[in-house]
Amino acid sequence: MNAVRQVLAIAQTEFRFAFRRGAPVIIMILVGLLVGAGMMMAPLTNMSNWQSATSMTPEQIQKWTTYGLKLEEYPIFIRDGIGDMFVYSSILAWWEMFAALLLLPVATIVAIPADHVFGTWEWLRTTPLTGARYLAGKFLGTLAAVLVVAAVMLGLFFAVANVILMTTVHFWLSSYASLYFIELSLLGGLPLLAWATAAGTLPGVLFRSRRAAIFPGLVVGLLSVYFWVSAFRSPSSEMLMDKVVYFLLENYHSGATAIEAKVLGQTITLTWITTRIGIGQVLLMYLALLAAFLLLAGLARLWLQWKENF
Amino acid sequence: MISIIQLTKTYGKKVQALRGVDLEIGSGMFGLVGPNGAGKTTLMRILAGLLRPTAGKVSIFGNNITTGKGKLAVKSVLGYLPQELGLYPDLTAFEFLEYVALLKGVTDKKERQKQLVEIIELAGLTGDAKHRLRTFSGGMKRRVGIAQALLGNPQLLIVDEPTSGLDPEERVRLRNLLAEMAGRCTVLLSTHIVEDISQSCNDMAVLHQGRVLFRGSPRELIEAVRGKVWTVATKGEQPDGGAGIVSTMQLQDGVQYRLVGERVDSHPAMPVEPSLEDGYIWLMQQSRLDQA
Repeated sequence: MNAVRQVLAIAQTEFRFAFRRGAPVIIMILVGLLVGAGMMMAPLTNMSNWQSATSMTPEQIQKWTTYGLKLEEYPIFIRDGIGDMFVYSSILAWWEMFAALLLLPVATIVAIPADHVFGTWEWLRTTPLTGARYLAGKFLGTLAAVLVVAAVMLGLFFAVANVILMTTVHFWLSSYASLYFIELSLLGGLPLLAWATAAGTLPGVLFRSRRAAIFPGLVVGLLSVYFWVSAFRSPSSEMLMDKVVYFLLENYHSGATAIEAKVLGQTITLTWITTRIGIGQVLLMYLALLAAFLLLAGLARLWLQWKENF
Repeated sequence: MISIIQLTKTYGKKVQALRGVDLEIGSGMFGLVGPNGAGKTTLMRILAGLLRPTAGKVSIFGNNITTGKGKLAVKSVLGYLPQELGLYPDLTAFEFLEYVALLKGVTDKKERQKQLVEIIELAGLTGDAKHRLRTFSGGMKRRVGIAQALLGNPQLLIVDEPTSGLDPEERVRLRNLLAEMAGRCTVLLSTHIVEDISQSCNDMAVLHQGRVLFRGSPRELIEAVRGKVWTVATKGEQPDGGAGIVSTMQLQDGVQYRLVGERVDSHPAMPVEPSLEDGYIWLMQQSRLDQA
């Protein structure tokens, strides 16, 4: 119980610092804007086509009924089709999340050196606190700040997308697309941000000044991108995305894809998928990530014990 | 209560900060005095669990501080004020102290609030508790340092050079506070200001070049130098002989020296009542002579 309270106390203070010092928050806002804009690029450039497609011509109505489709299915097809465009954009824009892998370590690697800079390192180690609890608190506090900003940016994305859709085609973003982006954030974004935060925070034990930590932070960022891309890359060579996004896309279905499937007589996917990956590969990715995290945390802990008697 | 046996600390291969220190420290206020570089801070940092000793044994309240378990047990009853106290400038004094209380294991909210209110008042910070620490003066920061050390009802309070840089009023106030604390727990005061020891400690040790030169009460050190302290008035020239100069005072027609050591023959010398400072200077002088 005491250990949990200690970890939470450090995490809470670190969370506060992340907002007062600003670097992780600013980077997350920039990454959020970059990814959000990327996700909207394709739907927005095609919006005029969708606008004109919202009402059917008599020829279209005839063609539509020839396929055995009902007229009331058409608005669903259009609404979900626009949603699918947003989802499709993640194929093009997901790699922009790698900016977080590159830049977050630079912003978060200073969390531990800050205690040396402020001189709080000395008395912190005289409290009944272990190095493991200290590391856990620092990591969780920084991650919490990163995730709060990420959640705000996700909310902003939904708000902007829905405002644009309501003012142009008078639809909300489809529930399928909304669910996809929530899944993408939780299953794809959260592990990526957690890794980027850990890759920055934990190596911070090696440095005693913030200035000394910045360049190594950048190197860690580059290594993180390399690690992520080489270890978790999807089987499709044309698309720079990780296995989680690939898995979510291969399992994405909407009202529009169901109608297309009815017309074409085959299952529709958004990724021109030739090789299917199962949940096993995604779980393997998480396991590899967990192993890398535990290795990093273990090394940081050993360093504190050996070098700082903490 | 605190048992230090043959404690040695070597930095790198050459710098020996502590050379086989043996000390037994009981309850009350214990003063550790010595010149800069004597090894006081190293000893304090070892006792606080910050440094690993190179050799020797340290036991505090029966806990061996070289083991992880023992170190954690000591830290749970420890209050520590380092020589240079770092604070988070972005936090208010209250936020900072609450943070320290949580880290020290004061998890019960009511108890934490009670302790915070009491200690903030004791440290004279009541009016400033809601202000950010970056706005605090040196003396106020030192009081925050004392407050954080007192949180969690420590059984052992280690204070390293607490009065350096304080104005006389703050120094007296701090000394009184530490003396009051000595009634409740063991206080280890490290300083190079002899006056701090003479005013508040009933037990002390003098450390020099990593070795214990003296171990006893301030009264014993004063008695050791009785009959060896003199005042000598000269026209301005320094008295001959090996006596150490404790103080110099300019007079209208010359200079008056306070000397410690054997009687000076070149000038008329008046024996005076020794002080702890005289005893300390005499010890340092003897140490240098032994080395020569």
